[in-house]
Amino acid sequence: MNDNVDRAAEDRADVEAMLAAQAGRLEPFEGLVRRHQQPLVNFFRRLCVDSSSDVQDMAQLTLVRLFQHRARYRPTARFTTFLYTVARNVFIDAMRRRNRGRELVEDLVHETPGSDDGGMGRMRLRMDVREGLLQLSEKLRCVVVLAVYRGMRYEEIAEVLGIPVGTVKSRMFQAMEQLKEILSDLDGR
Amino acid sequence: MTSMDDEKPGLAPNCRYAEDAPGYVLGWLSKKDAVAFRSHMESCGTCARAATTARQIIERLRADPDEACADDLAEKVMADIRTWSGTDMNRGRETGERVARLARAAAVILLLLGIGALLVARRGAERMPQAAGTGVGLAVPPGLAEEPAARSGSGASLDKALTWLVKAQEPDGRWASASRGVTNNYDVGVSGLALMALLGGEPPAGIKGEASEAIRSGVNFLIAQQAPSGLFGPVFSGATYNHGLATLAMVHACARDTNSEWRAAAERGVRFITTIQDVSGGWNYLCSSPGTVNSSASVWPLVALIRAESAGFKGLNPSVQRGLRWMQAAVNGDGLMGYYRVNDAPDGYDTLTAAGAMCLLRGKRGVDSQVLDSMLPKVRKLATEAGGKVDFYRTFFVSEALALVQDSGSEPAVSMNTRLLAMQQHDGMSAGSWSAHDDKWGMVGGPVYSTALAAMSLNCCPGGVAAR
Repeated sequence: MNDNVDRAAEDRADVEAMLAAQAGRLEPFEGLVRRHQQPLVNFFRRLCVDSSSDVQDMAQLTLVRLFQHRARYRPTARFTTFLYTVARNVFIDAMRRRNRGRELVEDLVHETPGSDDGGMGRMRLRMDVREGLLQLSEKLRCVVVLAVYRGMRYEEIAEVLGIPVGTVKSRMFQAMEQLKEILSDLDGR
Repeated sequence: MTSMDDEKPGLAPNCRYAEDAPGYVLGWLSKKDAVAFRSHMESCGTCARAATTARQIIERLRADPDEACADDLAEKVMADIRTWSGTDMNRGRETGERVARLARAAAVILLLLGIGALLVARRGAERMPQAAGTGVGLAVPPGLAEEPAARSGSGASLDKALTWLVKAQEPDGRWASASRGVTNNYDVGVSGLALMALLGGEPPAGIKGEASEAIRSGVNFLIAQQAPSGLFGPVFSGATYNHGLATLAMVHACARDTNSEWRAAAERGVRFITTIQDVSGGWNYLCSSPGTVNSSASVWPLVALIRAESAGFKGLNPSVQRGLRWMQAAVNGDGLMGYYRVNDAPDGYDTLTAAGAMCLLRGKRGVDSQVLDSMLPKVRKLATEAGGKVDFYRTFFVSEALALVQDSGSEPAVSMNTRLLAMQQHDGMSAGSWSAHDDKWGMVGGPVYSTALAAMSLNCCPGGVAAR
């Protein structure tokens, strides 16, 4: 119940910040930036953007573009729908400019656990989950990340990705089934 | 990177409900669908396995913790924005100066032409009825100017209702709703209703001064609640109701008073309504999921636009026509209005049909007469139905619709008014009001809501004209 109240309060604050930005007031927008910067970083990380600095850059670019496109915002849907539509477009633009290979997996293989990540167990878990997500197609991965980590419902995901709700449902089901196989293969290594 | 086909053979579910499994685990299914899915799983191994898989995978995914962002990310974002805004503002300033130079040049030409235009306008104004509220740039079409301020019938009851409303006003100019929580405060909407009741009626002689003051401070309250965006009231899902009612009240107020501040606030409110209009033409609850445009949320914004257009607010016709088309499309062959779409009315058709008929009758131009012909018998039938749950909203919409088709003296209208009058309270502090206790929405609106709507309904009483 408290989570719902907190989320509702945050939703309101986000809408008010966007409306204030439209009216030329910047201060509430900084609060919005601070609320969403970490979720955005992790959104890009889980879409398997290669490097940590690229992830930060894409989050930064998303928030700046959000401000630049503020006139297009309409408070008739959840704010996160608009935000992650911008984020997804930033991701697509970045991927089009880059030649993606399997660098991510190579990097993961060479990563060593640092003192701040709880040791090999957590690193292994993170590697498996990330590698598992990496092995999904980008279409399925995006649905999973928005649904599981951003808590978006099917209708909202459909709006962000510009696809029918039925397709979102189908992709989520496919992703679950595929991840089951992938992760059990990884567990067997 | 390996990319797996989305439609890998063997992954298609062999039960058509299996795709609901992730939604069930995530808690997104409606209560009814979740119960149905749970029951279905008891006899379907495919779905039971799909749900188990989804649960295990989702738990595993969620065990992957978030990573922190860079400490200076927010500072970098704001620095970029300020840099970009500075450039953009400079560009805007240059454009503004260019426009100003052109405007000064145009003004000279207009001045020379203006003398002739003034002579023509003065001659035209002599023919038009003069009405209060003719502000600068406000053309008063005959329809609005000719609606008489007074109405007859049920006079004593209306006097008591308006007296009660004046006394119920709070010191800061608002009227209080019953729902005043942080997340769903309807004071702004209820204040709009009270203002419309006072603006639409002729207060008794004994409280004329107080009523004028109540209107003035009520309008100032609304203006104080208006954000720079034009939205009246707080941001929450029900804000669409608040804003539609407040804007409509402001438009009515502007017809009575040439106050430029009132006019500017009304224009901002009207503009906000057009910006939140869905591409389909209807309106939704604020901050809602896509695909949930509905007739209930659309009524007050659409009526506000229609009234604003007839009061001379410019540039609204495209929005009005889109709104009317959406409303028409929600009416089925039996004249019943749906909620999200035609033939969909989870809480019943009655109030929606009455509201829809009122909107479409108000809109008139471009409305299919066959649609109206199919709705009016339903509206008349609602007027004759006694018993059932009290619904002041429905009573008002029916009253207004009947008045708009000149049926306010008909037997259905008279019988509905008789029942309404019988519910008015006569004792103590509540004397003159109507209780919201048994009303469908009374727990939200409270007695100001029920009394204001009752007063607005009585304004459409036999022999009177439609509420302003």
